[in-house]
Amino acid sequence: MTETLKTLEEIRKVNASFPFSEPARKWKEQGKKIVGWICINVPEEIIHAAGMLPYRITGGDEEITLDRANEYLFSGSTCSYSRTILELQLRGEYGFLDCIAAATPCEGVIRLAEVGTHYHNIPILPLLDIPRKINERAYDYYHGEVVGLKKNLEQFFGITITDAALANSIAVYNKTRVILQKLYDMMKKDTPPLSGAEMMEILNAAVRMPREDYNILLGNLLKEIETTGRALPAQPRLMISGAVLNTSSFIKGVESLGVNIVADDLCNGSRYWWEQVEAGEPVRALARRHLLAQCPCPRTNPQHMRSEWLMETAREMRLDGIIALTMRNCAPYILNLPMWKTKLEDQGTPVLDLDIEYGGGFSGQVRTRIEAFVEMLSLEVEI
Amino acid sequence: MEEQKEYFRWVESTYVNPEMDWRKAEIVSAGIDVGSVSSQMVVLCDGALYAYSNTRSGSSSPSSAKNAMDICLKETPGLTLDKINYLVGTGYGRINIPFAQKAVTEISCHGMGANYIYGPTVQTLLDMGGQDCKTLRLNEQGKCLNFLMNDKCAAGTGRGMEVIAEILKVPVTEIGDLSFDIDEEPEPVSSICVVFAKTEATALLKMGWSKNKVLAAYCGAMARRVVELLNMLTVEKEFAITGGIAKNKGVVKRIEKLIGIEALVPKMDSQIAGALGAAIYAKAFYKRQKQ
Repeated sequence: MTETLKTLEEIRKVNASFPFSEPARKWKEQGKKIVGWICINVPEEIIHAAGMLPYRITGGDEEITLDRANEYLFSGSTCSYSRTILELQLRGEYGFLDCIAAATPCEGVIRLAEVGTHYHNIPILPLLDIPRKINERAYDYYHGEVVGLKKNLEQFFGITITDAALANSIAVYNKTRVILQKLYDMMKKDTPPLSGAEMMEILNAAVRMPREDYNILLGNLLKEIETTGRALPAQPRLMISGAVLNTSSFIKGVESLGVNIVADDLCNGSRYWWEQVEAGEPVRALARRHLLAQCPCPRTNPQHMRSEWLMETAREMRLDGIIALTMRNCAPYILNLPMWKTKLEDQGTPVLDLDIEYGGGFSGQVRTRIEAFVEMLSLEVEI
Repeated sequence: MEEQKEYFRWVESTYVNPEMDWRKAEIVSAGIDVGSVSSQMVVLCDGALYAYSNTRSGSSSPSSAKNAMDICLKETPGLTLDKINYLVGTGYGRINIPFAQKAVTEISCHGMGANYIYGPTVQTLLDMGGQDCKTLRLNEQGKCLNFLMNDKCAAGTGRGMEVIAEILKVPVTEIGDLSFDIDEEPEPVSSICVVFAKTEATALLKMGWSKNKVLAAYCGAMARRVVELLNMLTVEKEFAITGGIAKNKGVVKRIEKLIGIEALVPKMDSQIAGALGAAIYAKAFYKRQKQ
């Protein structure tokens, strides 16, 4: 039972116009503002509470040539993610943003912010610094940075962000997290209701439209899944792990080889929505949640939290294997990979180290490696 | 007009087992490996090697496959495509073989093929193909447990060797022996990049190096590059090599020296490993189909 879900068609309409989505266009037509953000350590709720539309800056569903970006960011040492974003900015495609809020997860994003500011007209707020360690002192420091972001937004737009507005925004965003967790739990079934490619489309839409409307779509999606009893055939269960990946067509290619992508370890996936904001003073609560490393980013330290999350997820989701996407020059991800790869393999979950560029398509070389990996997992013959 | 000698050329070959009669076999299975540089077809009768061809690939996968098949079946009296029970395609061109029933990657097929050629003791397989180089960890059944591929760099590939052969005007089949006909083993060349090979080789020859010494330096550099890949997966005995470069003593001996392990000696042409593995899978798929 794998008919297209009506809600998925609605979601596809949101993603169809990239990067300036239909909902974003309608928002601007009402004279309202859009704040672009890079890195999940920028608490969207603050932007939302300010009355702006938080809009994640990403690449689209296709690989693009990066000729212009390559002139500004040396391709030998920068990642294709930062250069893709810069390329889109240089082409003016993100010109609809009123300003950008970025954090400091890695050199790639920091350089992108600095270089970007220089060469296009979108103002960028002072960068929100993220500590690498996860401990109490780090929370205090990060809290200070989040307070700074709030002040900078208020100053830039000449507004005040109230605690009440924040509390409301937190409730809105927490609702998303609850529903996404429900969808994720459904993927535990042998016959999951959604493909990994569809999940990616659903995740992409989240950050390209007003959150209240998105929550309605998510709610409808859940209902539709429950009423139709949608179930994909049982196939080997894989997880896609990586820094950031937005190309649902890539995931579709992988799944066409006879696997279900049932989980992810991606910056725009689980790491984005995992864990709710707790009750309490809103800015503190936001800081705590957004730095909280239950589903930690490769850049964080100590690294064992990440290894443990991955091992636990492999067990819970009954993974047959993991595809680790190593994007060239992504130091945080590549250097963190050896920390958990052997642990997962020893636990019985093979890991395929696959190098692709951000936005990279499903080339012959990529296909051969994944196909060989899938054969390794599932091709059993009697000789 | 003087004939332009092509140093990269190696001789195409065929084989047929004169003591086998394919008509007596219960299952006639075949595999075709279409690679970027060479293509092979292997025919098995009830899982035993009956015939093969080893040919140079053309510009299109379907025609390379057909060519390998035509050349192979020319040697097999009365055996035509329609008499083959199941055919599996593998290699870079595997999805473009119109007469194959199924495609299996060359990684899985090389494992199975190596198991046939070398026996169940092979744990580490090195395949040095036309345009890529891979290391496989195998179990006793020839199943691949883990693998690493390098398909971005020509060093350690057949194409890389062909470039060296052309630059130094030495037939590629003679490189191995010549690389040992030297007084002292030189340091491997510093830049392994095959794109810069001509510049480097010219410079060395100008410095007074003999051709053989330059060959030795290149074989040494290729061996080092390949051993880097091998060590990432670690080398467990027994160790075996498939692919065209397995016939190049110059690279093979230097690899063995670096890892301190001798490669098993093949009892047949190691270039057919992929097609052989494909033919083994073909037999298994046919049996499963009949059940």
